Amino acid sequence: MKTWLAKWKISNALDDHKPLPPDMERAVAESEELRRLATDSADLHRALKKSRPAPATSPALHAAIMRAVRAAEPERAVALNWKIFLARWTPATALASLILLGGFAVLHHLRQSEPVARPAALSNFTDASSAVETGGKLVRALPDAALSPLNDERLRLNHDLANAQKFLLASLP
Amino acid sequence: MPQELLTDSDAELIRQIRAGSADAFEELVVRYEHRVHAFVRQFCANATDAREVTQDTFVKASQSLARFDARREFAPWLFTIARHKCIDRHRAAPPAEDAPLPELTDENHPGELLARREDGEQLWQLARRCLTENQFQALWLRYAEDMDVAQIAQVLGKTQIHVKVLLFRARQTLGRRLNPDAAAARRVPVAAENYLAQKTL
Repeated sequence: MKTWLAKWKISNALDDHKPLPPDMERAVAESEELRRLATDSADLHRALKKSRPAPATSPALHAAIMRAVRAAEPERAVALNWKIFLARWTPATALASLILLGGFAVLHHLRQSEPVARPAALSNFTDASSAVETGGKLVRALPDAALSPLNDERLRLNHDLANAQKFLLASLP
Repeated sequence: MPQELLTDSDAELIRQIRAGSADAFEELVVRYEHRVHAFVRQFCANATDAREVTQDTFVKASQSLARFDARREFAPWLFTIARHKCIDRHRAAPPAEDAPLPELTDENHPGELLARREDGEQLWQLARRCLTENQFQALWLRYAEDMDVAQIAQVLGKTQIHVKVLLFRARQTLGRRLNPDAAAARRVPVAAENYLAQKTL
């Protein structure tokens, strides 16, 4: 296990770009196995770095990529338009909905709190309806009240005329 | 393409792309297309698949660039997309079980592989044959892309300790394959390796 940990530390030192700690340096110096491992690991590390594969150059690859990217752009534009549309209108719609909901909630709350004020409102309504009823009665009674004196006078005139007619007829030979 | 783009950093190019510059995106493609293609080529069954996965990677990158955090590095982000595209391709069309890998010409003399520069490609072929996919990806990103452990962890979606374990195991396996006689004399205790792997997972 101790040797394995030493190997782990040697591998870590390669990955962290750090030199081996002094105690590990001593351990490597004392152990043939660790010394060989450190050397082999360093060789492999260098070989892998040196053998970095050279990227193959291909103009066709570049053209194909750019074609694919451009072909996908309309989709992206549509997606972006939707995003812009949503980004622009969602807050406004949400705000309008909130205002409407708020208004509805206030109205609802007011309606719920109306029973407390209902007797007053009801009495107002009764007063108003009785006033209207009185007004109706007045309107209906008004012609009689206004016309009845004239009617009496007309009846008296008719009676006088009838008497005058009788007197004249009686005085004729 | 304007010449000044050639000297701009990735972050500056991304800023220009966001401002609507198509040339800046093309410059970014030029910088990374071959690296991404070389990476995905290792995991695709054939060159056509690799080319399509590379295209898909850049299409996805162009579509997602608006969401890219400019404070982070571009390369690990792009390679993360490439890796995911490889996984998608594998799911859509799994490679044949015995997908042929090129034979090594002088596997019997592995010591020479380390000595000769021109045999570097064979060293990577050996790695591809004897390492697991995660180990190979970690090794590729470490040496071919010169990424540090944190960046590799970002690409692979693993912890840094896990990446270190992957690299450690990859080098151990590769070392054993390159030098089988010495490996037999100093085999790493598998139980200890598994212990650390379990601790990190």
